[in-house]
Amino acid sequence: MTVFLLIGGVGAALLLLAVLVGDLLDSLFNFDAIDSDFFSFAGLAGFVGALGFAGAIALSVVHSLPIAIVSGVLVGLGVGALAAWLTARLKDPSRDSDSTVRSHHLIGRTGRVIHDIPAGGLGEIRVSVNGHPTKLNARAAEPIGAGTLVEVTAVLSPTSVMVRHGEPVHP
Amino acid sequence: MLGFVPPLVLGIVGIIAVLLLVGLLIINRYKVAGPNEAYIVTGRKGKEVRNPETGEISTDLSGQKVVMGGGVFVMPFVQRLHVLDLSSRRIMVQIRGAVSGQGVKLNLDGVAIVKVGGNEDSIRAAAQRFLTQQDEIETFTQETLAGSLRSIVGALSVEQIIRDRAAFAQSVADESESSLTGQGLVLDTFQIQDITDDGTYLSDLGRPESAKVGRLAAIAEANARQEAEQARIAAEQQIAIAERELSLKNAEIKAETDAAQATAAAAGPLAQADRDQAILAEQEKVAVRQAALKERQLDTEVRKPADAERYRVETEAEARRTSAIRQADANRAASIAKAEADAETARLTGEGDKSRRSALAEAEAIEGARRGEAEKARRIAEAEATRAEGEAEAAAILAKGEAEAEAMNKRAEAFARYNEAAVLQMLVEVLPQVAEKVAAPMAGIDKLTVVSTDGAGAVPKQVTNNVVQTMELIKNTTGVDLTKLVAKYSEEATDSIGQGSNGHNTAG
Repeated sequence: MTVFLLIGGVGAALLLLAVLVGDLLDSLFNFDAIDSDFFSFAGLAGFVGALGFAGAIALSVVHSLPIAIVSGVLVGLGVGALAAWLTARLKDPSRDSDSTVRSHHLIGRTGRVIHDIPAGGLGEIRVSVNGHPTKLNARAAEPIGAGTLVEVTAVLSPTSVMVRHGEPVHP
Repeated sequence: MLGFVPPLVLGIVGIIAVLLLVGLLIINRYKVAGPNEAYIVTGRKGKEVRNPETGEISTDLSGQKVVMGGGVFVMPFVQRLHVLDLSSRRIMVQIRGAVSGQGVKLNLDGVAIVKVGGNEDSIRAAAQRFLTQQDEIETFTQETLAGSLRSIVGALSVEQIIRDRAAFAQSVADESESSLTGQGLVLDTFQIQDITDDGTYLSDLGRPESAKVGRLAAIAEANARQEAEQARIAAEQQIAIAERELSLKNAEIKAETDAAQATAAAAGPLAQADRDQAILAEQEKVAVRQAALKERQLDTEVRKPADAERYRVETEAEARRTSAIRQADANRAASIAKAEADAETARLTGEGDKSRRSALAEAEAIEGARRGEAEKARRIAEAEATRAEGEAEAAAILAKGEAEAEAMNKRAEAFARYNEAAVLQMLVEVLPQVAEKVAAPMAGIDKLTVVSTDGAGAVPKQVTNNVVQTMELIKNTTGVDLTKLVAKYSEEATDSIGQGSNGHNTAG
């Protein structure tokens, strides 16, 4: 009984420590070898804590040590699995609420020229990407006057694009 | 503690605490980026990509995850999270003695707004350079921008720097593209705040235009002043015309009102004059009646008695004259007879008796003289007696005197004098009444204030004047000069005596 409760207490203490000190723990323990989404500190500590407390509950109910161990392991695995699933779900890139602008987002966007684009020189256009109004330097095959609608055809650098007259391909 | 708390309860509480702590820990691993920051999560492996041209396999940067404005789960132990500030940074740029395209040295003050680019590539590039020294971005960039500005100024003319926004913006874009983009920085704006030069190029630049504008302003002001003056003069002319019209109108109105007032003022006196005239006419009628009445009264009271008196006097005079003539005739006849008798005596006595005759003649002459004197004394006595009888007696004495001369002449003169005497008498009787009438206005005077240098002595003078004027009036109206008449009358009364003796002398 006491052993089970101690194990649970250690697990809970580790979890509490992890929550309180946060990233400090990450630098102390280096688990570079273990590169798995499944195995995490939260899962491990949760497993230990759940095993201990669940075992204690089972022993006090059934008064049978083997049953208590088995049920504690099972509950610990359940809690660990829950933590792992939750982690995996949050880590899923498809579920990212990320609005980072990437170069390929610019292609096909429609912008408006704010400074004349001369032949062979740089002008300026304004493009709205993911809701960010972005000012970009732009080149074009032919001179384009200010106020004209243009379509981005290629990305030359993080701050410059190639444009052409016309309506966007993707509305 | 364990002895008091049942193990079952303790276990259940522990399980719940473990579940809560696991959840809390997992939630803590999930980080959400703010709008002004970018997260760079490192520690993951990049995806393997095959270069389509060379066939080389390499890992991309996807292991270095860039997160903007979203959440990311940071794996404990294996991943690390870095934060890059995306806020704008203001950088003041000052360059001195930058040579422009024309070779003019310029001093420029500019301001640039620089930030870390808002896309993945820029964030990666900037994180690589500035992650641990984000405060140094300004310092680094300021140097770069000063050089850029210098090269921009060198490529453009002064006029382009000042006016040609497009050219300047293009140059700035070129510069930023080459110098800042590689560092993951974006030049939001780059503005020149001030341009000065050590010489006078910039100030000379504006001089022609300012001179032109000054000229235009002066012309406009002059024109405006001219127009204003013209307008003012025109307005004054209008005002003068209006004033003239007003005064004309006023005069017209005044003339009308004055005429009306004069008419009104004259109406009273005119009416008064009319009434006075009517009164005068009535008074005239009364006067005419009174005159007629007076005339009749005079007829009855004065003229007829006078006529009767005259007739009496005339007949008496006639009688006396006849007797006097007879007397004279008799005297003459006696004298003639005596003279003839004497002459006869003388002739008879002869020439020798000349001395006797002369003595006789002398004696005769003396006798004649004495006789004449005696006659004269007698006649004077007679005339005085006649005058004492009455005024008409004088005429008789005169007629008697005149009998010595032309009889007819004497008679006529006597007649004329009798008429004048009659008129004189009439007038003398009327005169007091006339004088009374003349003095009537003065009688009506209640209070007399005399304004004269003569003082109160003017009043009797006035009365005398009135009398004199009355006599003058009679003279002018009737032709009878009273004064002369009276004088003449008295004169003639005295003269007639002398004339009588003269006439007698003539006759003798």
